[in-house]
Formats: sequence, structure tokens, C-alpha cells
Amino acid sequence: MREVKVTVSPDGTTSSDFSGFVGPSCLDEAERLRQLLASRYGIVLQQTGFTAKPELSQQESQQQGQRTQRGQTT
Amino acid sequence: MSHIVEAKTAIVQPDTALLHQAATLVAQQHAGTLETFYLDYYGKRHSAPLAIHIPELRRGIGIKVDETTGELTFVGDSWGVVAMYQQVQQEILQTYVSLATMQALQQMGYSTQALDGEQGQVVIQGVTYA
Repeated sequence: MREVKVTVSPDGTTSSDFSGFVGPSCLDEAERLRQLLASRYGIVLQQTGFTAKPELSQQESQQQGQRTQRGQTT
Repeated sequence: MSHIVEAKTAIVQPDTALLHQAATLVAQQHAGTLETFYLDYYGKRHSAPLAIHIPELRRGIGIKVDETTGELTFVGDSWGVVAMYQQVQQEILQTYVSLATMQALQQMGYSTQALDGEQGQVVIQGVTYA
């Protein structure tokens, strides 16, 4: 399951949380949402923060480990 | 991969139908009405494409799109009712962004729902199993 949770504050600022995506596809999805909000609804989002969630660090560690293992076996 | 993005919002050339819907919802929450004018301090009418009138804001707030910049703007006389005037502006902005986000996520194939968050926040949740 992929989940996008957008929290809209009273002043209109937003916090968007993307979960359950594989690889960098969450970045593509965030860009898709940003472009749709701008082109269709005139909502211009100016990014003020970016936080990679723990899953990302784990994935990157796993990928690094796999790369290291592949490097050792070849 | 998962991440969180925080962003400030500006509205330029808003969707007219969705803005009308947002204003309608806010008016209903305050037992108010939608009109096409607002009043100045002297009671003189000024036309606006859309205006919200609620019991706490008898002069109303006009909702316009700036002809030069395309930005969503609010016009009216807030004398004596500054806090409520600002609150209603924020509610219109928040409702518009929330409705737009729901529609955008639905267009992207998500099933959506709106939830009440903390401190007056609105949480739009979209899920997909595709």
C-alpha cells in the first residue's frame, strides 16, 4: 500500500508524508502532486523542509550492503 | 523510499469552481451567505466576484483574483473585527488547499478522506494499492 498524507495548517502551509514507495518513486510522486496542484488549482508550493524517513536510511544501508557484497564476489 | 516535504503555499489563478465551493463551506460553518459585494465602513457597496458574509462580519469579505499578479486576494473593512476577518481568510485558504489536494490525489488514483488534525489542521489521507 502506498500512502500520501497531506496536513494542511490553518495558514495554508502543508506537510506531505509519502509512505510505502519503492526506491525514489516517492520523489516522482511528490513532483507529480506538486505539478498538478500548480497547473490545475494554482497552488504554488515553496518547499521549506525535506526529511527522509527511517525506511530510506535502512534501504540505502541495504543497497550499500548489497553493492559491497556484489563487489566482493566479483 | 519515504519522505516528508514541508511547504509554504501561495495561490495564483485559483480554480473558480473550487474556490466557490471552499467559500460556500466556510459560509455554512458560520451560518453565513455568499454574495457578490462587500461593504465599506460607511455602508457603501463594492462589487466582488465572490464575497462571504457571516453574522460576525456584517460588512463581508470580498474574494478576488488580482488582475496583475493573478494572486488570490481578500478585500474588505476589518475595522473592529480583525481577528475574525483573518480567521475567515485562513479558513477559506485552508479549505481551498484541502479540497484541491483531495481532488489532485483522486486524479492520481488515490482513495482519499479528510480528517481533523491537531491545532486546527486538516489531514488529507490518500491510499492506493496499485
